[in-house]
Amino acid sequence: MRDLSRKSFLLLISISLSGLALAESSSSAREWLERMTTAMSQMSYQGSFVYVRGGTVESMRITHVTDEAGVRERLYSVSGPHREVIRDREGVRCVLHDSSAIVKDHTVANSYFPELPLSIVEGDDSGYKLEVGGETRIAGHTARLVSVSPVDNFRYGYDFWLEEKSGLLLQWVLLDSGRKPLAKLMFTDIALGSAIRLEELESGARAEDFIELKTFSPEKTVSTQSAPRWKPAKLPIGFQLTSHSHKAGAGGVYEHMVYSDGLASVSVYVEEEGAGQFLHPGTSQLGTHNAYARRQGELQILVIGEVPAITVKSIANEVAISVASN
Amino acid sequence: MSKESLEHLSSLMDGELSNEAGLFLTRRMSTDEALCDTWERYHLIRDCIRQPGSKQIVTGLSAKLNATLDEEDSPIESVRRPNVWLKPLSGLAIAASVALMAVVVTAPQVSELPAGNDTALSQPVNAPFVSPNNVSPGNSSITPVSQAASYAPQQADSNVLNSYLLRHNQVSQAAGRHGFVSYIPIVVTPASPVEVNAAETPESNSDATQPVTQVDAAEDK
Repeated sequence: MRDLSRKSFLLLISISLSGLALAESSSSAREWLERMTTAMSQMSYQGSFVYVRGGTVESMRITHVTDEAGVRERLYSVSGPHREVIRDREGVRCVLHDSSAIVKDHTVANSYFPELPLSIVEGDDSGYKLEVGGETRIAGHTARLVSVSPVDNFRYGYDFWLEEKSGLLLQWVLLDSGRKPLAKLMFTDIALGSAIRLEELESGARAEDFIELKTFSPEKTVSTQSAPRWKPAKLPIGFQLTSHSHKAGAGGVYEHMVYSDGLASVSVYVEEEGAGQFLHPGTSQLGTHNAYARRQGELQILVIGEVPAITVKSIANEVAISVASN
Repeated sequence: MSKESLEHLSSLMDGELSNEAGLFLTRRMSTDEALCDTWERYHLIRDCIRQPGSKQIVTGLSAKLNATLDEEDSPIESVRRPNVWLKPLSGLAIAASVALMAVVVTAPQVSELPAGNDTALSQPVNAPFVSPNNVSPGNSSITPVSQAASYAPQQADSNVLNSYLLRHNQVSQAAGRHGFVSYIPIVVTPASPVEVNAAETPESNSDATQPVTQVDAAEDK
């Protein structure tokens, strides 16, 4: 009997210790993710990386500069058709040579909703389990693995390999709920700080070569703290409203809500027919993002985000129910 | 080495180069060591990404390529002298193959769900968020559906989707955690953003007999 009590006691201690270790790993993983968020936005870096998805490999280059002029970023393809995204204080511009289009979006006003703390991605109510893994060398730097595993099928998992000193992302793997890789990114070389060549921020594309694509006319939209007119009655665990904007004035219907679980985010657009270009109803894929469009009466509902197709469809149908009942 | 050569090399790796251009590039690699080395490096990078830590490294490709080419008759010669009467037929065959490939390539990639199950989330509000795929055991009757390939709307749709994605990334705070990674889907080659399934309207939603595509296994968990 005494032996049994002793064994139970040891087992209890062992479980407690492993629980503590797990909690420590999770907490540490959150700290790593916080460092990554800071490094990705506030550091200056430049490098080439390869992006693998669906058996195809693409080479790309990124220049991200943070200085007194604000954040300036240029991401462009090295192989295949010339495509690039430029972000600066004026907003974001997307140059697509192969489709003869340039897509512009002006700087968006800050959301009234508070930024989600990373603490929401851990704990029982979150959609993820976090863990710190081993280390390796990537592009000449020591990198630490931070694994983020989804607890259900409504979001993806991630393996982040972060530079040991700064937390900068060196390798990124997007995983499905069975931890099967869906896409990978790995830097092959990276320069930090003063080693960056600023001239690479300049685009080689000529603006006159392109036409501006008229889209959903985001002009005159305002961020607001008010509750959305339509909202999904149910959302996957951990998701909450992080942004809401609508079109100012009475000219047509346009609502944009963003829901996030702390890592993944999903946009819900509700627009009146005729207000913008309408998409074919159904599911579409845009890289690792999924989108689902449907119509409800005179309105188009579009849900887009880097989440599984089932998530965007489910949320769109929830919003459609809300639209139908109002 | 020119940027054009690198682009051709990349296209060859992706299987996107025409046969003739592929043959030309292959022959060029047999004499251009730098090009051959780049080819090896591209493969090495891809192998490393697919299998981190892999020890399998391709080396000496140029020498092997030269030896193989020496042993074989030049395929380009045989291509240059086709039978004249076969020319129109081969043109038709190529056109038919391209058309078939177009249909195959643009076939639905992401599955659609049975319309009758769209109300899966219209359960009581306090019910947990569940996938429409998991709600009804009737899902086992899901059958594939064919869909006509359509090209023009796809490009237009992908451009419109890009604009929605730009706005999403700008507004989304969570996207900020991933930094530039959130913008990669816009930069990747445009083959990926395709409209993938049959039209769905509220009216059609009520029609439970509408054929639908096979549900993706990953979604069906």
